[in-house]
Amino acid sequence: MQRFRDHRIYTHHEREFDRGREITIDFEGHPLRAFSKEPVAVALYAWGVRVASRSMKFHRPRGLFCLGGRCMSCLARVDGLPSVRTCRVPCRDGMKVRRENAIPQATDDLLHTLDFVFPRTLHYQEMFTRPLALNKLLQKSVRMFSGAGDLPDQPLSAPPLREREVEVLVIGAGPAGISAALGAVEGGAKAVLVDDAPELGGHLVGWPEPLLGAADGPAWIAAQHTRLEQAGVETLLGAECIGRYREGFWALHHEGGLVLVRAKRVVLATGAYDQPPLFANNDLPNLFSARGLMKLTNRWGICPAVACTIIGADDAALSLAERLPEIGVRVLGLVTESTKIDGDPDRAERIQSRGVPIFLGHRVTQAIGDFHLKGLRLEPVGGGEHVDARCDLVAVSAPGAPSWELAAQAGAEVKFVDGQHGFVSQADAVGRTRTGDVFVTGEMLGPCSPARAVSHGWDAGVAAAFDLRANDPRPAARGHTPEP
Amino acid sequence: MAGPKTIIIGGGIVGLSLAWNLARRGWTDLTVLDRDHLNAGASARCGGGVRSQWSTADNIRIMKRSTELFASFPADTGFNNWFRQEGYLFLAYTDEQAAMFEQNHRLQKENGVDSELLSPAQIKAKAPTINTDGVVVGAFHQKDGVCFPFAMVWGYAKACRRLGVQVLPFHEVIGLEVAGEKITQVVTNRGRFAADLVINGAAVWSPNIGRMCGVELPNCAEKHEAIVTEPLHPFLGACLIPMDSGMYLAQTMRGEIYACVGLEKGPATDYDHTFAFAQKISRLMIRLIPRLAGVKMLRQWGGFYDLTPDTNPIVGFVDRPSNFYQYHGLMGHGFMFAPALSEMIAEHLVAGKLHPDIAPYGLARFKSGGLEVEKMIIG
Repeated sequence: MQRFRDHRIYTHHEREFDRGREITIDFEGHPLRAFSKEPVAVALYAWGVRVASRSMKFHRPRGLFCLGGRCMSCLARVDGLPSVRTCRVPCRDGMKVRRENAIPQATDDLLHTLDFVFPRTLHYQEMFTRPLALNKLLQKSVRMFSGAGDLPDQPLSAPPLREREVEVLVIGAGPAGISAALGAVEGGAKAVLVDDAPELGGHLVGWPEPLLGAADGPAWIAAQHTRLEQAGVETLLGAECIGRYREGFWALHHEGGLVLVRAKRVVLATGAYDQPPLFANNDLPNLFSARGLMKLTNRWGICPAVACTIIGADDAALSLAERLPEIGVRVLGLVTESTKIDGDPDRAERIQSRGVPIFLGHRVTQAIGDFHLKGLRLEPVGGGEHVDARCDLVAVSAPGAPSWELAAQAGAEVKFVDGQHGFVSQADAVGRTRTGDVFVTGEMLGPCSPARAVSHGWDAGVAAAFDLRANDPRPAARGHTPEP
Repeated sequence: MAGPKTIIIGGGIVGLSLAWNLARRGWTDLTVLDRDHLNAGASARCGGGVRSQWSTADNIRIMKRSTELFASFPADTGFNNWFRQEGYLFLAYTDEQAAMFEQNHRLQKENGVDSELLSPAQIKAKAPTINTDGVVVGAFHQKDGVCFPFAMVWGYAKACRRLGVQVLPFHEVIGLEVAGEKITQVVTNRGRFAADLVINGAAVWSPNIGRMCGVELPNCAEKHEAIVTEPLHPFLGACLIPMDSGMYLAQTMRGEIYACVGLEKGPATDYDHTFAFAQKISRLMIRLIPRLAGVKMLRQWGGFYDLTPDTNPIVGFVDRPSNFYQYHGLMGHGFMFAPALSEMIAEHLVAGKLHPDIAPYGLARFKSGGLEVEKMIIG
């Protein structure tokens, strides 16, 4: 019998958490209090549900990691639909949520034994190939355990296809995208801003640091909200761009249906993927990306654990180190392989003076624990005695891998750049790609600070609008007109 | 005795299965060239379907043998191809289609393929999730099935290398040097290869290779597109083919729903994915399995069928150059035919025994009007 305890912070010395109105959701038969603006993943985590899902192959327990719709650890069945990204869906009253891909249930999944039987890895392509009878048995058993969720309970009906034309389409409503939409209006164009998240701001919703004159991320977003309204920018939230088609439009998945957008210019601001750290057991529940943890604590006001170790010593890591104690989480220390602190040195000194050590030149060799996170093992980079940090929470702050998929589909050049953590869309100073009509900005061009994302986004938006005004509108791409 | 210095152009399932069959028979002085990485072309873009339900006796016999080879592939090569024999289920919606099923069924029985005809009620019992409205009759063969296409290419490549075959991806053939009656050198962007025998297994790009030594080939590339959904727990055993649309749909070993249908007729120039396809296939999929509505699409992509004027492959030597062997024109079913065809071709090349099933496939047949047309080409 699972016990549920509410980990939400309802009284905070300086903040209120805007969770929306109180409702009830059904989680695997248990009625749980939730709030109308809370994503499902957050509401479950608030009640102590640490195992959000089971991994596909070894059925390892997986917990929330990025809370940004990218890591796929929060897939669950929602109202009869399989594998829904629960960090992207706000709670609704009476909503039914169930974890999948486990026998008999996610908390005690018998298939997790695979992980112990094959501790190194499972070379399934070349195992049990002979004799044929054994091979057949292997195939049958593998088949039995394949897939993640079940077919939807009922056939769904989708709303009719919608089509529209826009001058400048901005995909991604984080700091770069918001700014690009405003820049496009400044440049004289009409702009539409879309994002797959249910609210504006990208990772800034959890950013507690001052930004360009605003007290923190949420304050900056609130100010932009007003500016976007005044500028007449239409924002479409909960709208995911599923691809750029050669018929000449961008397909958005919105409210269960499709919207086909023909845009004269497009600014892509789809950000970066938070990367899991590279050490053994790096997927244990309660190991978060720094941004994921910032959203959970700063935006949603949830106290996740007792003691935290932070990997990294950049601004996000230092911010967490300073603020986690405010909600009652003890910070054991920061660890970085680097020999210097990447973030603000004064702040680092302040943190150290409070007795929080920063282990420079140390690397993490493994996470300790086989179901619950129990600690991290650290070791000096050059070798030497290891140290175990006993903690039940880990945050990893590292540069994300730039997203590139939509840019590549649109025909932009995409190159692997080692120093920038992955594939980077190639563009000029204002983000113009070789396609002519597609611009890229923000973290798609490599790691950058929120302030830098805002300024580059603005430039890209202005450039897209100027470009539109300077050139005749391109002829529409060849292709068919879809039936309604 | 390592046999003649043989260069195979094309590292798809066609080239690699032939290389493996030759090497097993002692011809190990072999080099397989591909212009891209392994699994970049049609072998990896296909659905991995394997069936013996065809409408001509030759095809039925060849596929009966190929099915056996798919089933024994893990034991033969040491590599799992995840071939799952849960049958192919064709659905007829008109009396004309039903009559064709009956005719095919008789021919299949005569050639040792144990297919059966199913009533709509039997179909419903076999696959409860499917919508049988309008279905007149179904044709089913249990030994047909679906495998993981990438694994066939990886498995053959690995087994080839174990036998000493050079498999060289990223080697694009840019020229053939002919002296007298023979090709002597194959020129690539990464160097030259001396050759006693050259095999053209480059599918839709075969005509480009042929032109390098003055051989005109009639192949035509036709674009088909495919889609996969998110992985679902197994609910569908058989590969389904509703004949009204020509779509084929199967659940893969991983649980994804894979579906494919043709859209653009005629010569294709690109692989690009289209919205028109996504829209058409989603409607067909939902009509066949209504509960697929709401399932997420993960990927879609295009690939080429390698068409010939009479729907039959082109296999055999050409008159000139005399050491230039053709092995292409396999329509949309090269993936499933290759294991058996390669076995016959290897016998032909090594032992000089021309199997009667491949004897009619020479290029010269087009001068006399071609062969019997296969009616069960799908997708």
